[in-house]
Parts: sequence; C-alpha cells; structure tokens
Amino acid sequence: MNPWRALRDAMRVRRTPSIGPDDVDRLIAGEPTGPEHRGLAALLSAAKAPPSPGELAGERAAVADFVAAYREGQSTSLPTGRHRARKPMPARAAAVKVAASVAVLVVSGSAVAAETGHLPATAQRYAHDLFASVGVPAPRRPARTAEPVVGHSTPAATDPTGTTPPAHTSGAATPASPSARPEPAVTETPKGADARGLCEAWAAQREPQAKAMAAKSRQELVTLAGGEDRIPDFCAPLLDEEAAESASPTPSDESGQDNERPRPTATPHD
Amino acid sequence: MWGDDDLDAALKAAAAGDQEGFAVLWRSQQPAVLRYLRVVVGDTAEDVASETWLQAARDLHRFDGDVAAFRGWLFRIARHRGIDERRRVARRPEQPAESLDESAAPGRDAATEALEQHGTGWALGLIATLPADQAEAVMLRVVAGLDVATTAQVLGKRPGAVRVATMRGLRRLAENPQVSALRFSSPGEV
Repeated sequence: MNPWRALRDAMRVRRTPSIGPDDVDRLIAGEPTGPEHRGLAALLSAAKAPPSPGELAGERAAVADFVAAYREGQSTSLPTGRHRARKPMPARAAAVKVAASVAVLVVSGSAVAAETGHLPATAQRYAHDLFASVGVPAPRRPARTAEPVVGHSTPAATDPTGTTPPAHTSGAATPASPSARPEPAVTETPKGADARGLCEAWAAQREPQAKAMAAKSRQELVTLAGGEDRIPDFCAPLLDEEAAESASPTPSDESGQDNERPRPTATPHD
Repeated sequence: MWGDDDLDAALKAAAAGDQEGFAVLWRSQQPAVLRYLRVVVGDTAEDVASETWLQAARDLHRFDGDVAAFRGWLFRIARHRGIDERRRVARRPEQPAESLDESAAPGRDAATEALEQHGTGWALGLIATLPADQAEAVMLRVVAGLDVATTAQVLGKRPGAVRVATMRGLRRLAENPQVSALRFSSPGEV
C-alpha cells in the first residue's frame, strides 16, 4: 500500500467529510448531524434564518399591488398571454363592440347567421360570443385569410378529417331552431368568450410543466367541441387567431417560435 | 411560523381576492422568494420578487390547489422572472457592477463584518458561488422548503437530477474553507 496515497486519502477525508443521501435529508430538515457537518449545518441554518424586518418591509406595497393586479387578472379572466393582462380592453370599447355586434345581428336577421358562419369574420366572433350563452355553437372558422364561405363547402375545406360536427350542417338545415341541433344544450353554459380561454388552457396543459386543466373546464370544452376527439379541430382556429394577435409585439420572447401556442398560466414569460 | 392549515385558509381567501389572505401568503413566502432570487439574480432580487408577486396576484383567482402546490407555482414564476431578468442584464451594455463597488468600499467596519460574517447574506453569497443548477436546487430544497418532486417541477428536471444537484451543491459548500473552518469552532460560537 502506497503510504502517500493513504496519507492523501486520510487528508481528503479530513478536509471534506463525505455527505450521503441520508446526510442530505437531515441537513435539509435541519436535524442534528455529526460534528463533521457542523459547518455546513451552520451555513444552511443561516440561509433559512427567520426573516429580517428588511425582508418584510415591502408588505404594504405588495398588498396594494395585489389589489390592483388581482382585479386586472380577473377582468381578463382567462389564461391568456400578456396582452389582455397588460392592457385590458377599456369597458367603453367593449361596450361599443357589443353594441356593434348586436346591430349586425339585428340587421342580418338572427342567430342563424351566426351559426352558419355568414357574418364577416369579426362580427362572426362577437356574434358567437353573444349567442353562445343560448347554445348556438360557433361555426368552424375557415383559415384566417379566407373569406367566410357560403354554403356547405366550408367544412370540407377546413376539416381535413372529414368529420364535420353535426352542429354545422344541421344548423343550415334547421335554420329556425338552434335548439334542434342534435347535441344537448350545454347545461352550464360558458360564456362565449370562454371558448378561446378553454382552448388556451387546453393547449397550455400540453406544455411539459403545466398543470392539467380543471376537470370542469375540460368538460365544458368537450361539450363545446362536441366530443373529446374534436377538441383539436375546435380549438385550432381560435388558437391560431390568438397566436397571430400575439405574434408581433412581444420582443421579450426568447424565440419567435413559441408564439405558436399560448403559454400556460404559470409560465411567466412576458 | 405558519402551519399549512393556516396557509391553506389564507390561500383560499387570497384566491377569492382577500387582501389579508394575500398578506399572510406574502409574509410566509416572500423571504424565501427573495433569498432564492438573491442567489439567482443578485442585486435586482427585490424588483424581481415584486414582479413575481404581481404575476401571482394577477393569476391567483384561477389558482386551484393547496399550499404545497402554491409554493411550487410561485417559485416557478420566480424562476422564470429570474431568467428574464438575467437575459435583460445580459443584453444591457456593460455597466460597472454596483455590488462590487459596495463591497469594496472602505466604510465597512470590523463590527459590521463580524455581524455579517455568518449571517444570511454570507450564506447566500456562498451558495451563489455554486454552479447554477446546484445553487437553485439547494435554495429550493433548503430555503424554500420544497420537496424533491416539486423542486424537480420548478426546475424542469427529473427528481433524480435534483437529488444529485442538491448533494453536489452541499458537498461543494462543505469544502469551502469558510464553511469547513466552522467545523472546528464550538457549537456555541455558531
């Protein structure tokens, strides 16, 4: 046995006592460890010492911020990205838009137009928001650049799977009664604006670290989409729109590609 | 300090918009958030902590989970805020580091040094010298009190990787001369 090596080993042991998994657990829990770990234990207990007054000095400001931010968050209400969180739509603008959509609907007749997709794209969305609460489903939106298509060619164009939701075709067939659509009316009708939020939550949960969406929300989305397997098709146009909206003014993103999908609620890149 | 039951009640209240509930949450978590961010971003920790709470406040009304989940959620926000901040700093044209100027200032007397010697600031300073993954693991496990699974979620790693990073971090800290010197002082001095 090489005496030098033995000496070196002995010195190393003396200099850095070995720390095994059990020691780690004890050190983290703040439980007593052997004297060889005393220095490390002292360091860790200093790191988690009770807070100093300075560390808690900002409470009042934090609570004031909370009041404002909570209200702001609530008014946006959906797991959205930065835009609505940063600059919520002024109530007046919202009112104007609602009024405008009401006017369009009055002029163009009824929910039938909303259901069959015969409104201009913008009006279409507000119309859907408006009528969702009485059970009129959103038509499947064609690609963003395309004009709304009259007649039944739309589903074929937008639905690669060929599974057209019954709501679409039957809507045209039975124009007078939205209630005649084969799917049962949603019992707990989500607000129309929620559809996009639900889709965002649904998309967000595919991020690796995201929370699964709440069961109730998921159920709402399944009902809205007309079935679990239709969610991707149902959500695609809504999410597409959101991505397009948020694509331009977000230079702080690390890469432009991430705009494809809205971020999960808890992923705080903005 | 706070039992998780108290905090659960506070969390529910805060999620419903109650200020006092939020204040309790803030008092219970802010020191750990701040210390974690001190290690991660340094001098701007307070600002980044404020941003963290702002975002938490905005999203709290739809938070659905217990206090343990809330801690993970909060530190995930803090971590991403910290990453953003570091990115911001990296993009900024070079500036003289204020912290260095301060510590080099001649005004620090011996009493201050002694007071700070084995205090929280000293400990955080040493932890900040670790490689980033080890420093974060140590802070989240030790100071934030997160379990391995939650820490793994926050860091986006596997639990095994968190365990290894924590152990390596602690070993490296133990090797630090300032720490190993403490081994030979009596417990009363520490």
